[in-house]
Amino acid sequence: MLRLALHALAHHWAGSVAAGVAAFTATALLAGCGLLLQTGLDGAVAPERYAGAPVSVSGDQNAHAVEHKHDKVKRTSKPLAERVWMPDRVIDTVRALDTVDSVVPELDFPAYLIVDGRPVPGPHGLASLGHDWSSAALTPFTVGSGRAPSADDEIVIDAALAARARVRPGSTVSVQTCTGPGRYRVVGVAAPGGDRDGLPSQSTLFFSSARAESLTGRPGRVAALGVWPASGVDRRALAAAIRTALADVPVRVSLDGDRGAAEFPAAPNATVRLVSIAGVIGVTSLLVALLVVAGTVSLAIQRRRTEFALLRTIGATPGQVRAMVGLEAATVGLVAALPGGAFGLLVAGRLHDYLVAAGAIPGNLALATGPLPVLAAALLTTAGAGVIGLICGRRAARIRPTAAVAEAAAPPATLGRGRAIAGLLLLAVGAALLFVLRMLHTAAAAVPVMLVTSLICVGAVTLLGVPVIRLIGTAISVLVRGPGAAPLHLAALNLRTGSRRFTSVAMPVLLAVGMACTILFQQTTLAHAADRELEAAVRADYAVSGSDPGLSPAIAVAARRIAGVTTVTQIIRSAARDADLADYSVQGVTPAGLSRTLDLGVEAGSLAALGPDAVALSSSAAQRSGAGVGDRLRLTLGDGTPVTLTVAAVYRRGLGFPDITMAHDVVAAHVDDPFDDLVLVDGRPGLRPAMRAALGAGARVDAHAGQRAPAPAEGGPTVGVPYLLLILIAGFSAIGVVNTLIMATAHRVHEFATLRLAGATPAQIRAMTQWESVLLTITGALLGTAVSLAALWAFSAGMGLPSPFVPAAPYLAIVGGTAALVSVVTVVATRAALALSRARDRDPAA
Amino acid sequence: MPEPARGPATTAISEDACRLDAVSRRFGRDGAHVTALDRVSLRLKRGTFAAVMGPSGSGKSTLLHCAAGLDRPDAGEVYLGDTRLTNLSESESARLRRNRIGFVFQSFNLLPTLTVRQNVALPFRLAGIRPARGRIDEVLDRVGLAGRARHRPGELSGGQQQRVAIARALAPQPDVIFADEPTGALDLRAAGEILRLLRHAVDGSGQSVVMVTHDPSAASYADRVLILADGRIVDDLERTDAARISARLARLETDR
Repeated sequence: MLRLALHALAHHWAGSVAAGVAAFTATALLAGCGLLLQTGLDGAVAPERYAGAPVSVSGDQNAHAVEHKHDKVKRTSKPLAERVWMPDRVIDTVRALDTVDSVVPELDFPAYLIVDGRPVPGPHGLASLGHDWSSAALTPFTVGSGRAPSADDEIVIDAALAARARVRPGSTVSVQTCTGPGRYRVVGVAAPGGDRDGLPSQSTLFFSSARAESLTGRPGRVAALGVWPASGVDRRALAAAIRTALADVPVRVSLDGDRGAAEFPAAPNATVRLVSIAGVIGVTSLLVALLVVAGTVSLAIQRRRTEFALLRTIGATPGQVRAMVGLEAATVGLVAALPGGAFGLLVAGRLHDYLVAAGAIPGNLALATGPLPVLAAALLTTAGAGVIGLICGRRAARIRPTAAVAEAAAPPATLGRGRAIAGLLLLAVGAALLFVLRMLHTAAAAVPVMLVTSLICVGAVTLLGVPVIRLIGTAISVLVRGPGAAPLHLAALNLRTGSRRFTSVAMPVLLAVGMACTILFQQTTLAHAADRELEAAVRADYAVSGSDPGLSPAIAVAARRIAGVTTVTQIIRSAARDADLADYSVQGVTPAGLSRTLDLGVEAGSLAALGPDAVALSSSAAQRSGAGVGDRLRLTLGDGTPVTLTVAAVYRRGLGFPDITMAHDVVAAHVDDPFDDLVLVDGRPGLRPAMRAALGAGARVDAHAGQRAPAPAEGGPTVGVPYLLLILIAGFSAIGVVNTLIMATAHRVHEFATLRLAGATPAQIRAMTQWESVLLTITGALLGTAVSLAALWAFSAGMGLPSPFVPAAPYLAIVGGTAALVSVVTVVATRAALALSRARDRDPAA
Repeated sequence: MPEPARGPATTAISEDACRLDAVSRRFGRDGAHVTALDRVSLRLKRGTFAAVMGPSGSGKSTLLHCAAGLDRPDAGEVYLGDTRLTNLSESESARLRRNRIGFVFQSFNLLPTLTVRQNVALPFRLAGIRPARGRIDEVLDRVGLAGRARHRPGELSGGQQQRVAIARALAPQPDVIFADEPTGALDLRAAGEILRLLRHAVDGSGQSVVMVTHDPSAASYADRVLILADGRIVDDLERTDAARISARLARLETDR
């Protein structure tokens, strides 16, 4: 059967092109995602600064909750957004152990050289960190030229930074820290050894011990410890001893490759996110590609009915026919998968860069390499195609031998029972999901549910679409009569009798329009609502923003001193968890004069009471946490510090702004980067020049603050992923549309010949197929739009928005693009089929 | 190859190549029935060339399909030699067709993806066995296409394609060759070649042939002409000439 399959494939190769393209693309994406998956699973970010110390001790980066339920104790933990600092006493506790040789405590805090008024970022735009010089042994860093810092205004910087900023020992520089800019003298340049000028993901600056302690903003705390074992002591034994000694403090003791997590607390969270993103993209591509393959194979079987009937007559068993179809599909899959897998290496690189740029993963999580994901992807695609072939082959196997002589009759234009049941089932599930959507109030939960709902509704409509299309066909054929209307009349009749065929051709159109609208307009709805809120809420005249890492506190101080300025509100962002470990976005704002710059739409209580002990919640946050005005709310801040605050107010503008609003200083004391994300300034008009002069080149001043203020990224760092899925689905749908249209038209050569015999001109036949494509596009677009609108309405209702926001231009682009594609393909396919039917006329035996 | 279960035990090998016992076949559904075969009984001796004729809608093709096991009758039994066909599964029936039945259609007989040689060897390939050395060449020579073994069907004329189809039918030395209007799409000369080939297979190799045709001159090659009308056998003629067959068919019309 294999040789038969190969012969058939070689002969009918044109029909397999679409399936091949789909398989190629799917394998490339799968291989790319496989590499990303491997990156996420291998997971270890290598330690950079802590590389010299065999054992690292750092804070436990998880918040924990214990739930008691019917005598069962359930412990959950969720990651924290900022670094957790340990109390000072751990240094002495660990030093006291006799298995320990030496302990080096580590302090880190953001420190940026300021050159030409702008902060110099780390390598590849990553962090620039300051440390105590005594912690240089951790890597170890050694001074190349110059000496170590002794006075409080002396610093040592790494060689790479020195080269980039063009700074030599003896120069005086300005350094931005959490207290603002300060003047320092560079007394030395250091390198981490091993021929490197600096560390790959961070710039390093060393201060004197006294100055470093004051710059952390966390008195009495330490970020991490590097521990060396006493001679003869195994590092694993050391780690165990430390864990026992520090049993009462939430710490994490790391060895070997695990130490990277101690140095980069965000890394473990990022690897989990990477695994899930890679999984979603990979699985979606494979499924959609297999759908396209299924469509191609089904049409091919339809086209080759006579061939299959003949095989059955000569003596092929149904099993042999099935095997042949399966082998054909698997071969196409294999031939496409091998180059696809190789291409996947490129895809992995692009995806990795995209995710780093979108902030979804840290830059120092290097992409894994290796043949395993590529081979696995090729195998999956080949096997998947083969399975699809076997499944579709059932229909081929069922072709009766006598079908070889029977006229190719059109299948009945009614809904088969199996299809009807499956369609109604899917419809019921879709309707249930719509109800569920109405009850989801956060974007993070609603977005994936929306996607699934749309997919299921598209499936339901496709299965149940046969009577709908028949109805449309009947209606139009009845309404349209008269001279010159023959092509449209014929088109309508075709819709009526060939409803099954049309539904299968309309499916990719439906899928493309429905999913594209769902994904795109969910984003626009959210963004629009957030923008509206921002515009209404921001009352200030000016907004000041800066580049990474943010605005130093000195900016706010300088702004307050400008004549004519009445209020300056600093805004800094972070995250927090409540007692149930639910995640909330947090903003810290300056309480004084808040009403002049920001109107959060307070529904209960008053923002005037905002202070170190008080907090304001958005209405959805109040609902989720179950707290109201006057209640005490227990929260865990980003760095693990527990606080209990009184709820002073509940506001309704929770879309454009974070869920929780606190006093600025409370938040700033518990974040890794205590720089303001935004500073709102209110005062008399015309202050912009004065502000630009006073605040320096690093700050950007915008009037009409409401329109320029950046909204927090709703949905977090993975916001770019839906767009990726959108492009995927659009691409595969396009392949599906092209392929099904071409094959459906090729099948009609006989029909065109008959029409021409009856007296139809080629122009009339072309007009007929064009009308069919118009009806097809309209039907597919209408149904797709209906499906996406249903999902969007349910989504808006759940999120508390008045209605979905569907901008006209993108919508017309989606529908117009689909219509253009369908139209062009129809024209090309019809011309080819007409030419074929003319050739048939000349040689009937062909 | 494993043989399917034989029919009722007989003491001697059956003399009949093909046998139908009260076979009925209806088409259509929900009340709108068409009776294609109405309790048809038929016995065909080995080594006979039988022609089946009748007006369109008389059930000729249906009779052929049932006799060859391509279609299952609604009532009655069908035998190929001693083997009962009516209770075989699709797979068993297919295996049977590979080596004991040859089938030739009016057109669309060959797989366009294979060469002439590969088409003729197809029944063997499906069975997973190699044909005897030289068998394919021998049978291609018999139909006069020895030099065309490597050509594709698209490169052959209609008559040549039919000859390849017959070669394929002959190659496994089947019990019976069933032919459905084999000359229907051919010109006079090509038709004659086909009919002479079939006649030669019966005379020279003791093959049995059942041929459906509407052409009296084709039927004149046969040893026996069965005439069907409205699903029943209305006449059974011994070998006779085209004129008499024509006359008999014309009488069918007036007898109605």
